[in-house]
Amino acid sequence: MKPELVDPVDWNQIVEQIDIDFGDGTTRKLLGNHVPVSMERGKKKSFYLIPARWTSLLEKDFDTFDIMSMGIWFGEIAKGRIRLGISIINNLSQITDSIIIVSERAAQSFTYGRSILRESLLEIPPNLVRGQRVVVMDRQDRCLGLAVLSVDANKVSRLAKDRLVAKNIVDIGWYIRRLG
Amino acid sequence: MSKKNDKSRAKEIAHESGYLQYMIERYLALWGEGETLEFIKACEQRIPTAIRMNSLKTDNETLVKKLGDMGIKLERVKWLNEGYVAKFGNISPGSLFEHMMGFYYVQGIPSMTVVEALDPQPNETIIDLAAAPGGKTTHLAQKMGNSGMLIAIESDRLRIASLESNIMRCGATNSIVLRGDARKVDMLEMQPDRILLDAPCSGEGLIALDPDRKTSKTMADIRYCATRQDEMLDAALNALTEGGTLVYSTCSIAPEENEFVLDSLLRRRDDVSIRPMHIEFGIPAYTDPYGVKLNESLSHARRFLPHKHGLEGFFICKLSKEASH
Repeated sequence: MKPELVDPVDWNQIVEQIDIDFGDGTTRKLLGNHVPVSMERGKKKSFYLIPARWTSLLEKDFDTFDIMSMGIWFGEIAKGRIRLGISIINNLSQITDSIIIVSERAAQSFTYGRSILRESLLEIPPNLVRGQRVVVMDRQDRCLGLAVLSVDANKVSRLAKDRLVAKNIVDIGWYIRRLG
Repeated sequence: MSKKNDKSRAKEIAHESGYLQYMIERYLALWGEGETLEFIKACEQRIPTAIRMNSLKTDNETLVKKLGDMGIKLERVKWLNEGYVAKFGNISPGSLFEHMMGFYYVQGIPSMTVVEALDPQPNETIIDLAAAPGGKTTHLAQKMGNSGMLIAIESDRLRIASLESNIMRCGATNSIVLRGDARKVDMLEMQPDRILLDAPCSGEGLIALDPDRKTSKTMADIRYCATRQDEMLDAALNALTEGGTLVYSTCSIAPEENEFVLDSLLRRRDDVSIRPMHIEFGIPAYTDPYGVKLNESLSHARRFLPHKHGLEGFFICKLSKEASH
């Protein structure tokens, strides 16, 4: 589970996936002055962003200690797909337009892992398409998590109020649910 | 009172209050009967909920306003810029958006005080030993302004999940979480500027929170903890850079896990001294518990006691490793 600098092939794949969903240059902006590193975790690979001056630690012998995590958790790849970490989503919300705004009631239920129905959707940019990942926020600019759209934005108005608009991928309630 | 009478009175009090007799015998020897009864009474009272504002996510004014709008009253703790006693009423402190977003951490006042006593500075290298669930780790990160390097060590895999979760929730980005035995921290060769050792202990200060503690631990458990605390302290001091600072704390009121551990440390090492703290809280630690004369500098260490402060029992001591000449 030793961390190592990210394989450029893995990273290109990540950049492509994130930038398609959240706009060109999004991954570069998320990275800032950090360096991406990866750690194998079973069949998954986790990614962290660390300050450049920490890269010397990648060569260090930690004796009997195992590195479990470092810096900012960026996300993990499973089956070739990047799943962004909850801790990066707030930064993401500052640099992308792929954002939907939901009602207060939906915001509450979203943080319990529920998905977004048509009746709860307050704002959605018209250019977003089905299958695209979006940041979910409430009217108070609170970043609640990530969802994947189940319908093109320009078709939302035709949906019945109880139809699914966006499926929950990850939300801030994870912090609490993870602790049981 | 004769020893025989002491024992018999201890037995009576233990029976009435539901404690093990050896505990009451120690309290009587430490405090006398009046204070022992005050302690027992205080341990039946609820400890007030406290929260720490997380400056990595918000500020005091915003948090007080946001929670105030929900009817939650906050009263700042005198010696802690970010610590508040919080009256949540019927609201669960962990259920609010503001909690999920990491604006605050629900944490005991003594635990916040430990980090304040360490006085972490930006750009330092700091090690938090026995770090889970992350209250002190995230507090250190906010004091460091997410700069420098914060190494959080924990041995228990399950507890690491809660540590990592809290690190992420609170927006701490300068941490490295290591799994391993804190007693081997000197093998890391990291030369930290500061170390926080909130040592695993018997929890004798937490009876108000965990009434089972009245009967769950024996004197042998306390001795076992003290031995581990000796080992952890030695390893931590070996790891600490010369001129560096270490804060040792426990959530135990037992002198056997606190004053005696430190007195023994001062006897076997000449490279360490107990330092005064820059904040005023609690009462001085004991220099003659049970009538045993200990190192006078222990009076710089501080204690929180349930019957004197209405809080968990806690012990906090700041140590400095001398620079070699």
